[in-house]
Amino acid sequence: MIDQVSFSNSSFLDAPWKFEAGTQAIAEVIGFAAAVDYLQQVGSCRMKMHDNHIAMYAFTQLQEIEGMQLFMPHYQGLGSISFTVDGFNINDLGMLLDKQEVMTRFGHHCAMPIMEKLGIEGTLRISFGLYTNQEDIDRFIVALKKAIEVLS
Amino acid sequence: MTIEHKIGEIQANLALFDDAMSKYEYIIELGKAFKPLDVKYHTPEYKVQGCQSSVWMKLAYENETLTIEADSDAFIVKGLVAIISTIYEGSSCEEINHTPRSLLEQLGLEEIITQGRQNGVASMIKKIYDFCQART
Repeated sequence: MIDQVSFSNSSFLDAPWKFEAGTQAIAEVIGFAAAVDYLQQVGSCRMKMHDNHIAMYAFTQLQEIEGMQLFMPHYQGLGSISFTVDGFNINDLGMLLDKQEVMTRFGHHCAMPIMEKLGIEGTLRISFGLYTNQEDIDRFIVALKKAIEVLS
Repeated sequence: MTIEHKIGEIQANLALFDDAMSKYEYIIELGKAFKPLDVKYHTPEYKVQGCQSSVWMKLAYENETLTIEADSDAFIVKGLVAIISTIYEGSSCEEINHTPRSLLEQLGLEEIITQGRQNGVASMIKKIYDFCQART
């Protein structure tokens, strides 16, 4: 925020006020409060149970696919799973999933040293949230199998 | 055939497919059929910058004709590389310089026109134009 402005000189208020120009993040604060209310209503225990259930389901489904390399030795209760499929380029798989409206992150995930250590170019990564359900995972698995079929 | 005609021809071929998956199956087939660039050229010198996949390209210009040899480690990107090569190969730099890149938008392939995709194809196109601009 400014103190005085003229054609010859401008002066600013002291910190922190001088950094607070423009409209304050009113909408964001109200939105954040609504998000917190919603999450408290669901409860952290139920959220964790849901995440575990979905991730475990996805992990089990992925294990069934031939050539699947899961970058965790066993299911570890995380909100995301990184994988590759032997013989298939991650970009090809990622782009064909995209064409089937399944969004994944693929590449080195800005973590090139670990990729180098693993001896791979990168991985595909799926992640889950409170709003991910079993049908989403089923759709993802069907799309992944279709991508593998097209590239074979 | 002019660059514009070649773009029109490829656009017509791509339009034959009703859904995205069939279109990309066709692009993959183009990639598989495209003559690979000799692996001895798969070096940083010939690499086109791309974050998500690698493209290597070797350009030559003789008798006012551009020749393109290119390759990628991903089938889809290789198919896109094949399309771009078909469009520009055999043309003169003068024609390339006078053909706006925006004509490629007609193809409706977001991977070609969106820099943000960082798959090397957009960088490949830029490299072809830079190569030709340096020759006029």
